[in-house]
Amino acid sequence: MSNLVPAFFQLLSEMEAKQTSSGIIFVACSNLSKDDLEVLKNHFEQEPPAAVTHYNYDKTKNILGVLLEEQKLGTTHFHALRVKDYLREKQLLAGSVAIASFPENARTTPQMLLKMLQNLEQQKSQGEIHIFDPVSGGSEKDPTSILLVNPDQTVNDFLTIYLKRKGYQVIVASDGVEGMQKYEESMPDLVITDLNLPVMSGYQLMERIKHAENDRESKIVILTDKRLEEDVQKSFALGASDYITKPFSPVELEARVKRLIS
Amino acid sequence: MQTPFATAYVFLYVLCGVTTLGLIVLFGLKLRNIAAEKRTKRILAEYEDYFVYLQAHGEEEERLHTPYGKLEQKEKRIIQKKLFELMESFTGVHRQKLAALCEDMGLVELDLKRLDGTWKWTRVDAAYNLGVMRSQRAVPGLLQLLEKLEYDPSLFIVARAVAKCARSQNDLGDMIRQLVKHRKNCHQLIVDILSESELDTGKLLIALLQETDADLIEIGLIGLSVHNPSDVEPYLHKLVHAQEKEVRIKAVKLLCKDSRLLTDKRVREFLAHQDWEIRAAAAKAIGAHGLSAHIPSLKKAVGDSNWWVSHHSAYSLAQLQVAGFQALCEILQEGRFGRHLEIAHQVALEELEKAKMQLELADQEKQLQYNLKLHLYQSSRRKTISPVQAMQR
Repeated sequence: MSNLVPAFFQLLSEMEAKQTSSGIIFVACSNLSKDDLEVLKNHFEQEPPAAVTHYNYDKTKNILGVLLEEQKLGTTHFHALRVKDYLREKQLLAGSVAIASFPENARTTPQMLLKMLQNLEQQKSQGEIHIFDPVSGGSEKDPTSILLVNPDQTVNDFLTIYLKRKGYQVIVASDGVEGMQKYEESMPDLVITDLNLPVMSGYQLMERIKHAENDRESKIVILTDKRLEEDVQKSFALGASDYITKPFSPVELEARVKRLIS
Repeated sequence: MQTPFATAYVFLYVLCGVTTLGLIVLFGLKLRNIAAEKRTKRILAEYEDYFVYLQAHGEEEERLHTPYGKLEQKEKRIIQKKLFELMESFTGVHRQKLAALCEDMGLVELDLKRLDGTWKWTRVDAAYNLGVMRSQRAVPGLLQLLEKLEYDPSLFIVARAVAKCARSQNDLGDMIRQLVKHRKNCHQLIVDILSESELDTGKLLIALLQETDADLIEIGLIGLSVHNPSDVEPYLHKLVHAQEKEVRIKAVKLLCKDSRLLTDKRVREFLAHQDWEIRAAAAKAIGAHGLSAHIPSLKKAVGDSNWWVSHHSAYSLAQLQVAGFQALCEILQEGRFGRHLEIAHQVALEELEKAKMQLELADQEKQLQYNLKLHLYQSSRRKTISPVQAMQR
């Protein structure tokens, strides 16, 4: 077992007893020497946000652990960006980064920390930051799958991050044909589609989905900037379960998705 | 002495020179654009993780952190563009947090300075940016700019910015007055601009109905046709007798939207009104709300001198079940000549055709209704036309 688990578990338990949350960052490094670690500590001590920070390095697994006292997930994530950039600049970064906040994400247990480390070891992508969320990553049950068909890259990127954090599995397509192809491959529980799609329109996609459905029925949510009554009417006639216009509230969208899936 | 050939040569040389210069300028511009695009891509890639951070923590209590390190002006502008894309896509807490981040990053301050710039389009661009960032601090400056602008598209860009940033209904009221002073027919657009505000505009729209300026009243009426708030009836009723025809019509149309406001007295008043638009709106509303008590008034209105009033009255009668259809047939029986008779006949046939089309899907009661309507129609036309001919028509 990594020496990071007992060291951080003790600190986290103390924090939890004080009813304050603490952020954890695990980074895969390459040969971080004692001096490097000292330089790193000094570097971050001089810069905001001011927080009591503990650094620990597992030489056998080459993983750097950082614990930020009294910090929530947002600040932990922000701090992880700086740690990652620093390590990359010094050519010490060797893999991905995992972040979490306890008890914000989950109750502190050694198993939870172990799971985080295991996830980190499995992720081979260089520099990618993973938010460890038991809702999305720790559940044994298959997550609800959502197919997102939208030509707007900004919306796709945002909803992928947002819905994944809420525990959904997100599949993305940027046009109707790709959407249909991914629908047939993944048979998602829910489809969120725009009406203005390149190659194949949202209406055609809905018709094909309804035609392709066998015993499993996917709910369809329209997310579009079309506001005309006839579009709303046609969408519901073709089997849409909900209709949301842009700009939209992500919180409201998630609430509607949750209601449809439950 | 210079020959014509020599003049032509000089002209050609000058032309070649100007063309080459133009090409060099174009090439330079193209290179500058390519360099700007490359820089944008590089900076966006550099801050990719930061944007993920912003999107992942948009609904948490904590304020979003500004990017670490010192940012250059160009970097700020590129990050601002990305933030704007996000802010224009979402509403609610996510947008609010990004707006707060823009303030923390000093982007609001930058555009507040540009709002006092020398060039008009710099000021308008700054106004647009401040609007996207929902900066309440910018409202006084935006209203000042709005006051100075001539009537052109920039006026609406700044007005939209005021609506997005408005601190109170007074700000919105000031903005509307600035637009109205140009006396252009853009009421619908002003209502659309108002809808950009995060404030509840219901009270403001009702307050506009109490103004003396017809343009302001019209904006209030158009706005209320979307909002439909309660407690608006007394103000609308006063406007039924307004001097301006458009105001009268819009007020009546709003009253006609709510069946509870269509009292017997009011229906009689509207159907006898001097404006045909008001008579037509009232006739249409009776059918839409299914107010069978007004069948006698509608029957009379089918004979109105205006085609639209006659048309809407006949269609409304057709909507009022068997009793309404019976009234239509009575018109056919009683009348001999005239346009209203043609309209009544056409509507009766259309109604029968429609009912026949739905017959297969209809329940027993609907079938009974159809038979009754057909019987009434045949009875009314027995003397002049056979039922078979009627159905063929």
